[in-house]
Amino acid sequence: MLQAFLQNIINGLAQGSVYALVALGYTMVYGVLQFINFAHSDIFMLGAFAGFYLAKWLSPAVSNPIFLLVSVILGSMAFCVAVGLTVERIAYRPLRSAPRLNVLITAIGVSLFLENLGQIVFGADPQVFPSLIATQSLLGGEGLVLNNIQVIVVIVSLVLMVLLHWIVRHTKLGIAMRAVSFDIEVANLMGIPTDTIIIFTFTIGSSLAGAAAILYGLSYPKIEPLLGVMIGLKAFVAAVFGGIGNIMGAAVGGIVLGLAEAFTVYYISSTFRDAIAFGILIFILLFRPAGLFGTFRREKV
Amino acid sequence: MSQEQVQVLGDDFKIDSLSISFGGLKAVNSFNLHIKPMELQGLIGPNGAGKTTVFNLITGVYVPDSGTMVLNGNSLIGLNPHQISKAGIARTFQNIRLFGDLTVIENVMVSYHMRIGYGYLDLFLRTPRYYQIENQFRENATELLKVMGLEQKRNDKAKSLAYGDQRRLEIARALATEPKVLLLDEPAAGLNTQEKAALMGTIAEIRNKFKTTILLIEHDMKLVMGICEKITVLDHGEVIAVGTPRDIQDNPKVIEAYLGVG
Amino acid sequence: MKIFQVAILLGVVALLWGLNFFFEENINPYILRVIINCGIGMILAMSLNLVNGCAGQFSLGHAGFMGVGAYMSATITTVLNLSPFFQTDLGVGCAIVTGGIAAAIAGYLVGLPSLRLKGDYLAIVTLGFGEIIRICFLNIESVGGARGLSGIPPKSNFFWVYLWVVITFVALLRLLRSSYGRAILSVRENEIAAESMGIDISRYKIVAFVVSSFFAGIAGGLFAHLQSFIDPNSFVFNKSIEAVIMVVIGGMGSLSGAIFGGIIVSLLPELLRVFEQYRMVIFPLILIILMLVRPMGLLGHKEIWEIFRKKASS
Repeated sequence: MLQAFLQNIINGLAQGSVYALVALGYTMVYGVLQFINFAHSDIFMLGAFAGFYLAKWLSPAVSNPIFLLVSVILGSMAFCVAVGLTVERIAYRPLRSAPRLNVLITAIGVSLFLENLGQIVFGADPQVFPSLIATQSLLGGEGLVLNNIQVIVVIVSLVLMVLLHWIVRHTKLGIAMRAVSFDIEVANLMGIPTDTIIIFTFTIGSSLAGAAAILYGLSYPKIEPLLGVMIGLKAFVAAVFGGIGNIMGAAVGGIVLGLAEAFTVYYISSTFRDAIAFGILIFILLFRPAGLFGTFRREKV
Repeated sequence: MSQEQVQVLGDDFKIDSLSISFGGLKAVNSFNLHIKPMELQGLIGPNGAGKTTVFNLITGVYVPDSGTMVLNGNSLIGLNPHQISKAGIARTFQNIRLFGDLTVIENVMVSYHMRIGYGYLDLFLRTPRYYQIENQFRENATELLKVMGLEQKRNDKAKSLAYGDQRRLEIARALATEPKVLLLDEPAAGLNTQEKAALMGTIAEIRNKFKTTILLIEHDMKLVMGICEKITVLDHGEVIAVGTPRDIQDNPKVIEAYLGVG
Repeated sequence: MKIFQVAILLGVVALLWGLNFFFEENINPYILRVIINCGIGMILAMSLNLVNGCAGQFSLGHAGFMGVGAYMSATITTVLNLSPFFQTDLGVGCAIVTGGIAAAIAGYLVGLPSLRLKGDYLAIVTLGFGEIIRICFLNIESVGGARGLSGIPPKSNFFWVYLWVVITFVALLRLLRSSYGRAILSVRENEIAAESMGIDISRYKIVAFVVSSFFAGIAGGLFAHLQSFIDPNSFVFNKSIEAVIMVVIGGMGSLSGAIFGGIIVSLLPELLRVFEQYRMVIFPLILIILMLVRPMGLLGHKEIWEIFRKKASS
């Protein structure tokens, strides 16, 4: 009983930290531009494929697994940043003053485009993500499984989140980003270059998605072009759960969602795994629409 | 209470010690107002005095922390904006809020919805009742637009109107709810001096023609002085003076609020 | 007046009936199938337009309502085995209407959160509802679970589908041209002003959701009895997106635009069949470009006849 409980916590944490990293990208873009970047989930997917090809190309040359892992993660992050910034520049920036509905529809369009392009380029069949690091059981026996991959996933996520927290709190760009998310027009008037900040936001969000994609590939080595859809939706739920626009909230929301799923699968049924996220979402939006840590702004009359 | 007394009370509108605060800031503090039927009152005060907040409280956009509002013997506290509108209070908005993509006449006809006399079946089957009521609405709306001088533009989109016309359409739309009390939030804002004077004339006319009570927010003291019988002055969320235009003009507190302490 | 209406109604029915015979005799079944699919697309687009275009809410769960209608009607005609009556045209018609009503009830439930949520949030919640509905079908074994439901009587033909297209069009047009329709439009235009003019905005958001879901359910029922097979994958998120694209292409808030959108989106995959694998890339590209160069859609808030009327008078 207790073992099962602990096992679910371990699984939930590992899955939840991936959700959290992706959720951060949603929440930061929402904070700055007030729209759901639907394409974010597909940037995550592209990151996984970038890692897949990079690992194939690098693994004959690099023997040190740690070095290989780090370079694949960095490579995937860089690729995601490139895609994220391109999408921002081509599809979103021209719509900066357009109605939000149009931006939302464009974001959906970009997302569909990337998904279907992925199906053409990578093929619709799932690919096996190379195991960059051999799986080692750290805590075997008695039905409780804890392996090195799970530890790596949690640790890398934690490091990235702490780093993000530091950037947002203490660097000039981070402070400017918070100012923009508080009120983009006033920030603009105060001389903050909002376009630069938006680029910065997309950079960070996309790079976290890239890292998350590799961590996901390590734990669930089956990747396909529609991979991002569910993960993206769930990460978004996590962001809303924590209070969209709130960085801390996204991290906590991701973990909570990961745990909730792990327990649902164990105690109810694996078919309801995807339903639980939406159940949480509807519940939170009905009873605390601002999320766990969010504040609700009232429209001025 | 006898029938006669109700009649005498008429559409008295009485607000007592209405208060609301936002995050510790007292936006409106124990606001009192008493308007007799068909009276034209002004609500003035410097920027940020809380005038629009008072309107938002009256129309149910904000729920007051405390206080009472009674129209014709019925309490309005806790009602939704649409219920308050049905109770007989209509308003215009300082920052124009027309239904931009609807035509001018449709903007006015929206307000008749609360008096609709046909159901969904009537509209799907286009029964005689549907035609009769829709035609009635259209006639009434045209009549109203005539009064406001917008009849020619009745099939234009509201967003394509000139600024002054938009302000007048706001008033027409509010009048279409057949209000007992009409709240006008800076109806002359953005108009030039002549337009302002003309509008003030129209407002006085409306009162007589539609027999409504009017409460008017205006920034410009001189304009209000000309047409209002009674004026309430608000500063920092509190009523600092109530009286006839003459009383207000000479009130040192009012002068101080407007000009600052010398 | 009354007699005139009845005469038009009979005329339309007779015309559709005749066309049905003509098409079945003279047209290649593949093309007829495409035409019928266009009809279902039109119903979907017109119904979603009421919520997304007219009431100004943003629903991303339209496939869910379609699914409710499809499963409800198919359950009556196929699973329950009530009576042979439900194998006949009329019986299937009744089942499809019941499916529409079930979808309307679902629409009422989904409409409730719209009272508190706006824009993106509402989009995500409706998306969530759509997915939850689908997951429910996946888990109900009596309707086939993941295997789907087959052997549904294939009663949807040109006549029935286009009869519903006409009904949907007339009903929605009449709704919009009434005081109730103006109330719905006023919610889109400015919620605060609408409330202040005595419009119970919560009520009309719900009305929009319920009416919209009813017709989506009808489309679902027609779809089920056209394919004679449905499974939860018929009503995935992408189907909802397709419905949104129909509305957006035609112009949010334009009923005739929705009809165009429905036709274009149903036809495009067939026209792009040459590019088979590229068509799902071209599709979203069109959407993105449309948003960049003509964000109001082809017709904007206007109806097609308004454009012609303007041209004629000027």
